[in-house]
Amino acid sequence: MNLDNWIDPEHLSEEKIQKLQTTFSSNQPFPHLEIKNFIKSEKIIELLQALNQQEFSPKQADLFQFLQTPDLLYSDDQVLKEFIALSSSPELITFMQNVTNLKLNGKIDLFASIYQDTDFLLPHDDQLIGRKIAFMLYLNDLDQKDGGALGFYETKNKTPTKIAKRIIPKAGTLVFFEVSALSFHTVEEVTTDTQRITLSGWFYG
Amino acid sequence: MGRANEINPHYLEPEHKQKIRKSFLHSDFPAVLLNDFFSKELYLELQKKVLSLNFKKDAVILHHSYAVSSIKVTSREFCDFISFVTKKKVDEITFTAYLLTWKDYMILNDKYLEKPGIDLVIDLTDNWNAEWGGVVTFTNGKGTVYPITPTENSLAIVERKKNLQKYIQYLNHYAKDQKRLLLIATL
Repeated sequence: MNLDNWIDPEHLSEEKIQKLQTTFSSNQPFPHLEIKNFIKSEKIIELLQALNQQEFSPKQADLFQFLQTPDLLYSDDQVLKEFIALSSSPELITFMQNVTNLKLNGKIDLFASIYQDTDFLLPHDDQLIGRKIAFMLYLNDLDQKDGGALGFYETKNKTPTKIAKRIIPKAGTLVFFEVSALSFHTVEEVTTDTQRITLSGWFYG
Repeated sequence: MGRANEINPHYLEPEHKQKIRKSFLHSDFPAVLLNDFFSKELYLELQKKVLSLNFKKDAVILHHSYAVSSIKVTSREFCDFISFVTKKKVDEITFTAYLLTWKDYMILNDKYLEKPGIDLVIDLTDNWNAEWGGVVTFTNGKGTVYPITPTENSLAIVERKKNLQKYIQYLNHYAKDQKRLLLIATL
């Protein structure tokens, strides 16, 4: 698959991948990366238009409150199918393996989520059998005042203590992290009418 | 607490007491919610007393964030009422007092599972809007949830059978500076 339609080739050069590899493994509080403008802006618009036709259901429990689609792997939308093909392509899987040094098997999950005013996701580690990398692609911009930041916790004795890093969503940014016993993270409450729209899922291995 | 007529006289009438006990003991989800439970005077007194307690912030990120204190209730009338409804003899009840504000919560965690028991939840929060969060909710972990509607001066008596756990919904920013005040005890 030719990734160039979706991803700026500068992100895929060998030199860049080596830099990303170093950054990923050294980032604190646990291995992760934030790659700005990873997906081309025209594709972000196409994804937003495609998601506008998808059904989002409220998800509410002790740990979270937001809107989510069913697993998009079964969507018949052409743009979403292309994105799924991209995400599970051997080329992108190889890219992720090279950057993270984690062995992947090509299986992914993919959902779209919308966080509205008061929605949140409380701290957890994402661990589930087979999950190796959690990823999220932001489809719109938020400001600090909107809330909705992704927070990574530092740990002491494998217990989360405080948020060590916050990532404020920007359209086109791809964030991913290694799922482990230390990968405690949260989505802080959205506190304005600005929606937080993401595509997210996991790479399995 | 410790004088006559502390409880709404309606709930002390033999016919009503029997109905409450029957409702609690024989329902699929053994629970009763009694509104306007204490006399107005006693409710205000209890609320004031609890607010004056020395609350200590307690945060275990993967389970809870709130401030806690404790208070012992020795009222004969109250203990007799609870004993009658639950068929469990009690002479005094030590409640944990919870004070929650924006961003506080209590979530489910396998390391903090509660043993089966009878929960008493006294709501001491005036004019709380459930849309702000802070709702005490019971769940069997399989998608069935029983939220206790926040109502000032209410008493909920809930039998938590095996696999039933409770959580307190995250308090969102609409709670602003308001305080959610609850007394919870497990018999």
